[in-house]
Amino acid sequence: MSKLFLTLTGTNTISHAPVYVEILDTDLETVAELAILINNKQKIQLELGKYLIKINLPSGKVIKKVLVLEGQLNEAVLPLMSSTNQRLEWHEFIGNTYNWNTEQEISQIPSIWQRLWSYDKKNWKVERWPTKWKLTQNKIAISFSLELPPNQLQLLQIGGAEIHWRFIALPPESNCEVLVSPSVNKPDFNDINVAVTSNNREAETLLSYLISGNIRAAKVVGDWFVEKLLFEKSFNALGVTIGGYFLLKLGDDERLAKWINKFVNLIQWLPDISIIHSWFLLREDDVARVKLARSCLLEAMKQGIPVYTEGMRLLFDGLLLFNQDALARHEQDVEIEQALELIRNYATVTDWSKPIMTFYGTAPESLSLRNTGIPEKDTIGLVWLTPPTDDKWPLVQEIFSQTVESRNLSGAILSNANLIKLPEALASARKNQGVSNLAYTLSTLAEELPPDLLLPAVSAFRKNRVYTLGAFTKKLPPDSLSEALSAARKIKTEHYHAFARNAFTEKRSDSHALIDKLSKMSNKSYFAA
Amino acid sequence: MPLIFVHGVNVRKGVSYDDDVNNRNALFQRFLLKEIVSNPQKVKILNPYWGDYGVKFAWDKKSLPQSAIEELGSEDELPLILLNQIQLEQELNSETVLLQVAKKSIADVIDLLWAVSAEGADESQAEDLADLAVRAVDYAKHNPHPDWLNNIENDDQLLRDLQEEIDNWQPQNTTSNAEDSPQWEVLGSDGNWNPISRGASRIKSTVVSWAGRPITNNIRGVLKGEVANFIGDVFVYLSKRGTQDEPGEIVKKIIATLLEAKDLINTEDDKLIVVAHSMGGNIIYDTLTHFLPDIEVDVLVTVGSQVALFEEMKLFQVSDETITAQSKVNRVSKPANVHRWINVFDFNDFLGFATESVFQGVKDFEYRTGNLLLAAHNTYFNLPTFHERLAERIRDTES
Amino acid sequence: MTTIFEKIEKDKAHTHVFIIGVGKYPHLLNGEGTKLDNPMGLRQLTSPPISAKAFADWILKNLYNPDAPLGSIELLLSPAGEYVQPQDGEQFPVEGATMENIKTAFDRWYNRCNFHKNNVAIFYFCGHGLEKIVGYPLLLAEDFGKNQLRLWENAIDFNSTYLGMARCQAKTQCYFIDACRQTPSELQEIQEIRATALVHPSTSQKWGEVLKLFATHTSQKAYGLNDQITRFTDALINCLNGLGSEKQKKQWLVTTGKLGLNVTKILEKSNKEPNTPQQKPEFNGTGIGIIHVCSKPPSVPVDIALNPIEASNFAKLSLFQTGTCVSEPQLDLSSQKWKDIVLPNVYSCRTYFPLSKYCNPEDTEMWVQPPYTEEEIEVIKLV
Repeated sequence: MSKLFLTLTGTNTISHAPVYVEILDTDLETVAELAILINNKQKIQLELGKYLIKINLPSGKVIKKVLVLEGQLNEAVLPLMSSTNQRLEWHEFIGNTYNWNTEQEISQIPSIWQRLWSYDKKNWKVERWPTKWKLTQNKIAISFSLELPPNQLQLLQIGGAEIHWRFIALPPESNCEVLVSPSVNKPDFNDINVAVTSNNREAETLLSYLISGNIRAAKVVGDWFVEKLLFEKSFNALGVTIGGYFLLKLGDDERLAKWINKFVNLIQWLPDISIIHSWFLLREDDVARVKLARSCLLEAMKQGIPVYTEGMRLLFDGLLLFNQDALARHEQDVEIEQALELIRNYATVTDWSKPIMTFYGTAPESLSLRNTGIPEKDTIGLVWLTPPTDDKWPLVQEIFSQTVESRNLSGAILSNANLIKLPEALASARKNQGVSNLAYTLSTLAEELPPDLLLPAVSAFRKNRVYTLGAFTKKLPPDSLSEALSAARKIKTEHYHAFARNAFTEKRSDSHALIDKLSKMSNKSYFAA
Repeated sequence: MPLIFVHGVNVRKGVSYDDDVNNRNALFQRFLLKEIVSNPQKVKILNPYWGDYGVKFAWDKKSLPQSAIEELGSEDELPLILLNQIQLEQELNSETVLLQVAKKSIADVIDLLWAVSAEGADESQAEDLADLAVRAVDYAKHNPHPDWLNNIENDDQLLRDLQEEIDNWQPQNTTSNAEDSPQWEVLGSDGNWNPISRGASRIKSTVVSWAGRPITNNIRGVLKGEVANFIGDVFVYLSKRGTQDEPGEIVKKIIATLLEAKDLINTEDDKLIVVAHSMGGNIIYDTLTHFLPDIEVDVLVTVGSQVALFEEMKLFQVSDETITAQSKVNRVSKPANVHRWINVFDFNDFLGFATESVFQGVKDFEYRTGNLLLAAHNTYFNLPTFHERLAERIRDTES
Repeated sequence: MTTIFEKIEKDKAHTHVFIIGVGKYPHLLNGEGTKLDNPMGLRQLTSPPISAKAFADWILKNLYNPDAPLGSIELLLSPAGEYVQPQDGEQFPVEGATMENIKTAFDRWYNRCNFHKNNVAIFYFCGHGLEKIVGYPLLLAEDFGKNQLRLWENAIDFNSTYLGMARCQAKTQCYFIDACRQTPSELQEIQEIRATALVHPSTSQKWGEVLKLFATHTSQKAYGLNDQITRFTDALINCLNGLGSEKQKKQWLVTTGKLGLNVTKILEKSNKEPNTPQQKPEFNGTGIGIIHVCSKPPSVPVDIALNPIEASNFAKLSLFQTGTCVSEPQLDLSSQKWKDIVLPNVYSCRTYFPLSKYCNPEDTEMWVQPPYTEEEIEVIKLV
């Protein structure tokens, strides 16, 4: 026997993700199949000889390498991927592909907007867009990450001037990554592709194998994954969900029972859990179990919309089963009928090709396939993903001001041209809801504006000196301070005071130099303060 | 060998602009270009857009009478316009409107269906529709009043049987594609007729929504708007066309396209074809005679244009006041850099004018839709039979 | 008569096959019967009965599963006609695939499958397909459209039928659906469609080894050449014949876990050929249920491309095994690839250039496995 130490290498982005590896001998028989974590050395016992190592990535790509084991100890280090863009590497790894060769650029699809919704046991409501979100863009795709509150169903809504409004469920994780690119299927600016994944590498990798239909790979990776899931104390909702779908797929009753015992009562807000529970119960022809399975399906309906498309399918099929069962007994099950009616409506607007629940509509409970444009009257929580074009949307200025008012800011880089509209936008914002809102708006703007646009912004904010200066304290470099102060004309003495205080509060390293300057400008010493 | 299409008035970029371009390009390839080149698919078709430089109305045409405003802006103007063109004698019934049209003329129902269906069709669907149009138009030509219509009771049956007839029809002078590519069958609906079905639904919806009201009245509002646009675009062009040294924006656009087309000419594709509609004809005439007289155009087709009228008014840069009906040389020569010039107009299109009395060396063709009003003006290029007849004219002039 | 084969030993597990091939639809476009006012663009077809017969031929001639030998075949074809047994030429009149006949034959097939828990149930359909709700196929029987008042009674609700098959004892079940999965615009306006479930869904949903293999993805089309076998059935038969197999304990086995993957790979490869409409199967398979045990190793297609491609015209290739030349790939001029069909094994590919314009100093090792093997060999241009 020989020992092979095999390491699959990759960047930090994909490190520790499990990968399915098959080892074949020269008779082309599989002698080993295992899940290997990237950047972890794995020991494998094999007879001496020649082998083909087949590394099956979750994206479907297969890397092959021939190894000859000659001594007692052998070592092999195999690099996995060379992505052109590290930011997008995780998406490439799990198979969220986009067409590199397309001539279309995402920025050419104008006026794509988005917003977040959450579910609070009964209703869906718009959420404030997280202030912290990072946008990365190459010509073809945009990706961004979102921090999300835990234990809550969330939907990302995306639409655009010519983009059909849709909702995409967000994984039950605190962080997720979204990739938006022109649709590879429709190269005529009519559609975009939205892929969502979390940073939970183990769960997402298993999910990718399940979706690809590579059941062997899913089984090997899933077995390892589920063992950890069932025996470790800590868990996360995403891992539990994917693990549950995996066990259901395999029909592993024994481990499913353990899964039910451990998790069903701990995660009571996620419909997918109830759905998996229901289908586990249906695996036995037992009256009590069937009754409980029915209850689980109805409970799932109350909990909201399943996160995964497989969950929607199981929910629909389950309701169909109970409905037809009742009809076969010449009975009417009203609750099931009503639930089925509702889910049937979702079924007709669902994009079944996506692994994560994606459906079309104007609101999570107002379903329709063909809405495009910008929600003109209701722009709360709206954020631009690609810049709006004035030609198409005469209301852009108004939308912009409403966007500012609603304390959200475009992820697209603000150009000087956009800044020209700022005064009008602010004037409009000023009329609404008092100073505090305006202050917030300005401070938000200050956070987001790049330094070279700060000074023009200050000019635009002429009458809003105190908040402006306070907000800019963090970002203004010392050498532009005089200019900024001059731009903020007619400044009152006490405002210098506030500014000085802010400089110290913010612990600027140049605070002494700043205050010295201020003192000279106002003929007053601020050092005592 | 490139083809340039210079559009006319009232063309503005919007949702239907791209559809119109796709549809028109696809029909050009299958009809007109087939008469001129051996490989129409290889022809680059350029569509210079000058609509942005056209007239802008400061009050958004609020000066038009209110009743016209109410009737304007209907989402489904096109079915309305086309139905009006066909001039059916009976009141329209949404269940049998297509049948009524078909009984008048199969060619009319084909034009109606294809023109409406092309709106909203993407590029690939436009290609499929154009392929179908070739067979459909040929079928209509050889079967203007088929007997099977007598057994049809409603529009669904009409569409069904029309589909069968056209699918089974082999146009004459074409070989089947068996040698070129395999014949695939689809284990479901192949979807080729989906756009036609959608177009038919749109037509029915239009009839339902205008039930009881004469269509002609509704068209008037559309027409007034069209006239306003036409007058506006003419004034804008004439006042801002510029000079040879400093051409205006519209002319610059056309010049740039002509030069781009010239670069595409090679030994394999050595012809430059220009098709100009309405005001586009005036613009291209001005350009070819004054702004860019060195460029050679092999075939110029003006459709629904006013070139002769403008020359009568001596509005072109090269117009010679001394050449009139009474002068010794009593017609203007065709531009030297245009080898062949065909002018198409419809008697009922009051913006389409003949040229033979004013110009020498031009061939006039009347495309008689038999229908009235300006409504005919903007729909030439939507209609497969128009393309077929244009191709026929080209064929005739070549022979 | 639809049972073209029956040989059942008592108390033993068998493979029971139900095959439907529908090409004749009297109530659709160009049909002979009273046509639907709106036939949704559905035409008469030529490839399904040919494909169904080809599938039946393969099952009869080749299917081998020692744990569940072939027990029966139910075959329905439209147009109805004769089926000629490939082994002995015996002729069987075969009934048309009307809904009534389908139900009757299905009942027989179901009862046989349900008889033993180790049975293998195989269901094959080739003909028109639609989907009202994406992912829920409707398979059209020959007499679809016969009654405009109950339009969908002659369409099979595949999803409900599948859910109903959970009742069936047969532990291994395979469903091969060779049909389109589009939603015509006419269906979008209909709220609910009640097609026919051949067996009503059960609230007991315990499954063994299952494979659902569709010729195409939801909302996509499936294709066949006129008067020839369909693309999907062709790939399916090739895979059953070995290209969908994997080696386990010295045997080449076609299993529920692997067959779908390999059919997909074969179709994706042939999608690249010129003038071929794009088609990608969809499958949902679990487990290691054995469908067929190959009597011999499969013959695997090999494609070898040289880089640079211009070198191909000057090259000669040979495949060696333990020092012996066992095969010589041939250059396919249209693709400029060297092609061969060999048994699965590890080969050395030697590339040499008689005219010395290029060279390849080292042999390339090739591990040839089903469904096909592609290799690119870098060669050096000599100055």
